[in-house]
Amino acid sequence: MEEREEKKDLGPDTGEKMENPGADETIDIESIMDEIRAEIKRKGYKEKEVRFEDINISYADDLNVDDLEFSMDVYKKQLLLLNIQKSVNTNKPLYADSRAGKLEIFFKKAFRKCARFYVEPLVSGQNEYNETNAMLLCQLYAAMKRVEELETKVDRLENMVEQLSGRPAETDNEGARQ
Amino acid sequence: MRILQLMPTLAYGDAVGNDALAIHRILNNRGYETKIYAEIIDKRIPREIADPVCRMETDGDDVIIYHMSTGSGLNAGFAKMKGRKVMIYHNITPSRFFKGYNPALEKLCRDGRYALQYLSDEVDYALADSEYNAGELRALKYKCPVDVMPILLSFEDYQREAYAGAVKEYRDGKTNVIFTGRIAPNKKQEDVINAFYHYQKYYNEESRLILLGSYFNMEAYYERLKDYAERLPVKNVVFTGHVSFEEMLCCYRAADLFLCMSEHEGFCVPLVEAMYFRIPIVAYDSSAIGYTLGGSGILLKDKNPLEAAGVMDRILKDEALRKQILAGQDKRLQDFGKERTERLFMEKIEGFLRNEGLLKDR
Repeated sequence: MEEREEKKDLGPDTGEKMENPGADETIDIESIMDEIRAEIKRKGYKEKEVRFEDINISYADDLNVDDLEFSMDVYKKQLLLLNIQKSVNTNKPLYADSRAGKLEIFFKKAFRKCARFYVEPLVSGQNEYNETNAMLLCQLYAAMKRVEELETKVDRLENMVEQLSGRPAETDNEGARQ
Repeated sequence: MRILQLMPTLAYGDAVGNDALAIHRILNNRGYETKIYAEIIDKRIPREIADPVCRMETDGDDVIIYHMSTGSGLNAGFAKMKGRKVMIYHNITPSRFFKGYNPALEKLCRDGRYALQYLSDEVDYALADSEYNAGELRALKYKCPVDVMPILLSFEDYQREAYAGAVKEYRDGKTNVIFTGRIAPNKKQEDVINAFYHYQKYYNEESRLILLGSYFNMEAYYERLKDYAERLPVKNVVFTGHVSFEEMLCCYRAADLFLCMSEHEGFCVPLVEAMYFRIPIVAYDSSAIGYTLGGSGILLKDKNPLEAAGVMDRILKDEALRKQILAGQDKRLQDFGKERTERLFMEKIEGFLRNEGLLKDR
């Protein structure tokens, strides 16, 4: 690979005189393309048949639900967080952005009072829904814990069967009844 | 009479932000009272240059220059402002490119396009970064005069020293192909990867593709590109992510060829950067690409990856062709020179002011 000539950073701001040999000669692109096409044909070059369209779009990890692994600890932690976050509060503190601080806060309070009739029923509805959701997920947690206990019990019983019979425990009911 | 600029976000280091700051400097130097207002202002920008839009007040004599580049509540707010209204249209990416990747961005672009239509009879003068952008405004039947005014660029910063160590990392004997731009579906980095794959396979195993640009908010597309590169498989594809200005300089200084397969650009500043760094350009002919190249570089009419790979190899091996391309690019670069574009901008703005009877003797 021959060493590339060191580039001069020519530009309109440098004041350097530009070299323009052949600047006015038009490059016969069509002729070059014809030669290239002939070369491709002669040498039998083939286009690779892997298409970009066939590559699936994969989203950020947290959106790729198929890759998620369940963790009881993470679930419990999120459940605790959910119960902290579930209530929407309409009484947020008000701050002033301008120099007329007190006047601004007065007007913001007045506006909040005026909008209350519309906003509070919406927030109340949202809070009820959040409460229902949180309770449902708590019940789901309780159910998963129960499932975990039963899985532990099943494992224990399977081991006992294996030890007593001297062969691996059958997992279907038909085998167990023999 | 003041000339005020307005935009949703004044970011530091992006093309639209740089354009606004350059305009501010030009107007200031010409003695106009001027300021920039934005909803979000990068904290590196001094307060005497820009203020939050909530502090903006205008009257009938003022001229408001609005940078239109995205969906924003400001689009409608701009229409209601007092004063003469000038739009600088940088283009808004069609929302279809973001479908499946980023619903929020998809909605923002769709809303921006609605606003663009809405503003067709609310604006007194429009400047477009490219013929492509101007064409869109004319197609939307903009009632005001529409002129083309390239984005203002200054290359003083590009003369800074790059990190020598980092340049060395890329100058390891491999051929470096580069594309600069946010990792975004309209820029079609998958087609760059595909063309590069065929170049590496059939012409040059010792090659590297540098995709220079942030993938923030485009993580799904970025992951898909990585999967695609692995599936091909292609070696030595570098996704730089967001990099510092000096790291960007490293990449440009180590690059042997610039490959662009974008399907939507309003101007494409990286093409001009490639010209500045004397990197031969191969680009797919779409949207504003042809205008920005202005006959220089090599424009591909279709995206056949084998043909693109063949062109890349030809340029990299044929020194005479490479020099011819660079000569054409050097010539085109002069059209974006600081003095020329600043003079053009003032001609256009002062022409507008004169027509509106706002230009007093200076």
